Amino acid sequence: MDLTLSDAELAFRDELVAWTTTAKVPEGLVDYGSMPTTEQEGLARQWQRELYDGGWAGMSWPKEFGGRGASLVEQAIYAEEMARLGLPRGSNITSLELAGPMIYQFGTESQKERLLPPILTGEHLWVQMFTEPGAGSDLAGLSSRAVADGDGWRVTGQKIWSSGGHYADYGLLLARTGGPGHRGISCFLLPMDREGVRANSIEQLNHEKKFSEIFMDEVRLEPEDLLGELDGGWAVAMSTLGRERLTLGSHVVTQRNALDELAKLDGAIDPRSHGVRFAELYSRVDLLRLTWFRLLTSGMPISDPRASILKMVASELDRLIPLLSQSVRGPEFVTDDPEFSDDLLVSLMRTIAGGTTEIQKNIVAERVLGLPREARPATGQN
Amino acid sequence: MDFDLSTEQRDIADAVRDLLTELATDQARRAALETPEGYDTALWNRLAGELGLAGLLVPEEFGGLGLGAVELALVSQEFGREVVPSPFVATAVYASALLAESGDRAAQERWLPRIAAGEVIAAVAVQETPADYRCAEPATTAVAGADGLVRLSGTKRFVFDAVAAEVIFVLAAGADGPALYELDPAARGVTVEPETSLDPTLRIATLVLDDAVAVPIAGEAATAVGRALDLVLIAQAADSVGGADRCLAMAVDYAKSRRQFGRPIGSFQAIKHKAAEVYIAIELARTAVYQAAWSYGADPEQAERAIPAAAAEAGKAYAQAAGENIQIHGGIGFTWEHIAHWYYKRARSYEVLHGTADEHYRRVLAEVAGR
Repeated sequence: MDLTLSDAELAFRDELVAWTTTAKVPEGLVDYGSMPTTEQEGLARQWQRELYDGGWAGMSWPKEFGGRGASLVEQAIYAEEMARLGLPRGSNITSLELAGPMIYQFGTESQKERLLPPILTGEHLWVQMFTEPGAGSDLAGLSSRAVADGDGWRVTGQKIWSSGGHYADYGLLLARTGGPGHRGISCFLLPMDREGVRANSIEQLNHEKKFSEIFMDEVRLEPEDLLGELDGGWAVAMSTLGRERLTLGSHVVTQRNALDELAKLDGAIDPRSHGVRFAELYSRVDLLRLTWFRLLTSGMPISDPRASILKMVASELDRLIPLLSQSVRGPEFVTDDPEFSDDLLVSLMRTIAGGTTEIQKNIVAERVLGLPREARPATGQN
Repeated sequence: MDFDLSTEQRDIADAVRDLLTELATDQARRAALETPEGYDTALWNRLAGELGLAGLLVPEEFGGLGLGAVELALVSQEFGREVVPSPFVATAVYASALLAESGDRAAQERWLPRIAAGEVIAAVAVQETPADYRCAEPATTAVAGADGLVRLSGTKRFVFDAVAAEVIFVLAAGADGPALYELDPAARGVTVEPETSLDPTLRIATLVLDDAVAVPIAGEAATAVGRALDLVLIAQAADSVGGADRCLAMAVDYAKSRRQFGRPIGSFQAIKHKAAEVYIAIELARTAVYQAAWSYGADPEQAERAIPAAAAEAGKAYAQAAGENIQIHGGIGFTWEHIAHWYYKRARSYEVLHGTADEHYRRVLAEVAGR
């Protein structure tokens, strides 16, 4: 047991930090997290290009597809260091951790050649088109339908909560090509400029516009747009499950920074005032980081349901830290810089997006603890 | 980053688990509570004799295994799974570590070989008031008389295994500040008052000293007490994680087999979510215990916040696991016959013995704010 970074891990970190001191960071770029805002989109593309030129694009991708082929721990260190430096990890998470890995695992040679390089260089931004108004947690109940049309298909339907759909170049689309349930779903690689596709941004409760809704009206899908087997889209979609967990290190850094800022305020670290609560959350953040490393080094695949506890703990801390800020600041939390209260508002999404906390608990209970599945009523499609 | 255990570490944990699975039955526990010692002497003799656990932390030169905090955590986790009534913490952890840290060679030679051999039960008396488990300023006095003997007067509380102890190490205020003294519990002026304990598997007493003759132990007492108490906290936290593990396993087993409304209750989300929440709490606590145990030997600065954090996290996780276990079991979990209550009582006791969560977090705070 040795809970420090090894010499090789330190060397990796030092190489990254050294590179960032010479890298051309686009002016105005901020650490926007997993997804750039509309304003940061252009800078995100530029930054991805800079990462590509520096040899830091596609950290998780195997080298044969142009990636860095980094180990899980190296990816973790990467996420942590970039957050510490206040830099985004790449263009966006959908392009680099969903579209890319799905294409290199399931794509044809032609799809790989055509679509992988532009992701690494920042030329293409991708949007996930999974969730629908009627299919959220119950994704397998989705109803966008792709009907056979000559050698291809025509798809009609509506997608929602798709991050960055209004500026994306390509969509990772799940649509129904067969019968009900997850066995009738296919995955398509949809150029967003195709006729019949319309994307609108959705204003969030904090005025940010990261989400979008996307309408598809008789949109033509070509044979080369199909990714993987016909009716085999579920396996494609599930193949990248849990990869967002690799970005947890940046959460930890953000949380630590928030606590460090809070510590400067009166009473925050006073043992007779908020200090005990502060120490509790501080310890929790530390434990989240170490638990993350513990699971990453355990040899379990990143998709292992045991690792889903990380998301639950991280999102809970995302909520609790702004609430401590609220307690410490008191009424000034309401009237001061909206940046403080914005963290609280944004945290509301963290326990919803990427699988609600409730669904995550079901997964842990069923797949880790072995509790029986709930008796399920038939879904709308069944 | 390497969380792996060595083969040796795995082996010792497995050996303890095997022996406890065989011998630490509920029947044995209930029988032990009826004895004057209050713990299972036959089991303790085998743990000490066959596995050398009484000397787990005792340096090899004194006949012990000379192992460290990580091994202590692994062993304690196994103890915790079975809520074993045992003098392990008092003797093999607290007293052994205190002597080893004291630097008093003669005292070490006097006691450590006998402790390691499992021949003697030793206890430690530090705490006086509920609010200060480290007893920064002992009110108990040590006064040297004209006859050259030192006599202790005062009251020590929450002393583990004082009734069975052949020797008690006492923290008292001497002429030059807090110091440690070796006390024969049979000496004149010593009264050991057993307390009733919420957790009857823990034997807790109040020690009243009235001009009781004791032998000074050399060395910096506060440092030795602090180091020894940190090991006690690691042992308690690991014991808590082991107990919590067992509670979750028990609850999940029950939820799979108990049927209501025509289906196993474990298929209901209300039950699943409880179980998942307990699982999360345990996994964080497990990390905390590893961090605490590893840093105790490897990174004292980190240990200063990791140990109290582990104590607090593990205490909370255990209380949650033990409480939800009873709730999931329903009526049967509330019976004396069922084993669930042992875990709940141990959990709620450990939560406040050797410091409360608030005290632990204040220590974390001092470390974090001090930087």
